[in-house]
Amino acid sequence: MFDMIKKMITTGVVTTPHVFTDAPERFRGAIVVHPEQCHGCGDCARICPSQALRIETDKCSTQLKIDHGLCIFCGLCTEHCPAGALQQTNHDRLATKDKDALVEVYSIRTEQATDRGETSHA
Amino acid sequence: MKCILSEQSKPRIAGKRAMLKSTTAHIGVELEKKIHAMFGRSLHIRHIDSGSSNGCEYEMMALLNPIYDIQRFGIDFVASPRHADMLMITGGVTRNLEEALRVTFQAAPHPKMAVAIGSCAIHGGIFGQTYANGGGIDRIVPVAVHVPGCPPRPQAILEGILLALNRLDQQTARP
Repeated sequence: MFDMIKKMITTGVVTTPHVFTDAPERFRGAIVVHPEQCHGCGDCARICPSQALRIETDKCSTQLKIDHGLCIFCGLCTEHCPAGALQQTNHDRLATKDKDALVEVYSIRTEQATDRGETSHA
Repeated sequence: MKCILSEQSKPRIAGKRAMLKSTTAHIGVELEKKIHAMFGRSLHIRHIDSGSSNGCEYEMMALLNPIYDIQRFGIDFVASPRHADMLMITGGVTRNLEEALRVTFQAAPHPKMAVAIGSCAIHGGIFGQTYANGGGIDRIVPVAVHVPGCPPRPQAILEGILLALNRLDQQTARP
């Protein structure tokens, strides 16, 4: 019993007064895309286990779409991106009323996308 | 012994006052005010598991632990949807739990809100939409707020509750 009382005294108050604190540095949070570094090779889209990343190619443009509603924040895309265009942040508070707001679209430079696509498939 | 206990109790009260005054607790206080205005100081949440991996449940239950302690803001989890103002739904709606989810939502009294917790509840997550998995709860019930994460942190869930209460302002005209 004395051990219990001793623990109660030594522990003190653990309740955090700061409810909305930032996640730790190494926390796996939202993915940030740097579209200027992206070559459009599609490695991220192939490695993504939940198909949250997609590369959509038109005749005139290439787009990288990332859906944070599908993302499980595993970080595989950031590890496999050869150009280092994807970066994982510790941002975790993504709650939204609109599901479509979770989809982010980035346009990628087309000529590099086609070059890279040919070499990777060859 | 009594002296030690009384000394220990002093900083606790001081700490509580400091908590209310500090700016970082501002959002929590704002949430408390909103709940007070709408539901009379309390928000009761019923948790529905529609085929979750229990990751989201761990984070949700962490809201009740001494560290986060959401009961100080007037939020609590209840045992029946009939007592609930808000339904917190986790999981990607498995085939067998689809009807249960629909019936549970109907059992909750108006005004009610559904909050989707985790990637599975939003789009089906890593399981997607398959024969066994529904692929998101908004196919079954109307959802006020989506909280992404696999699982989301307790802070993210708490922010989702705040967002949902803003949403309720728009929907109070419902019968």
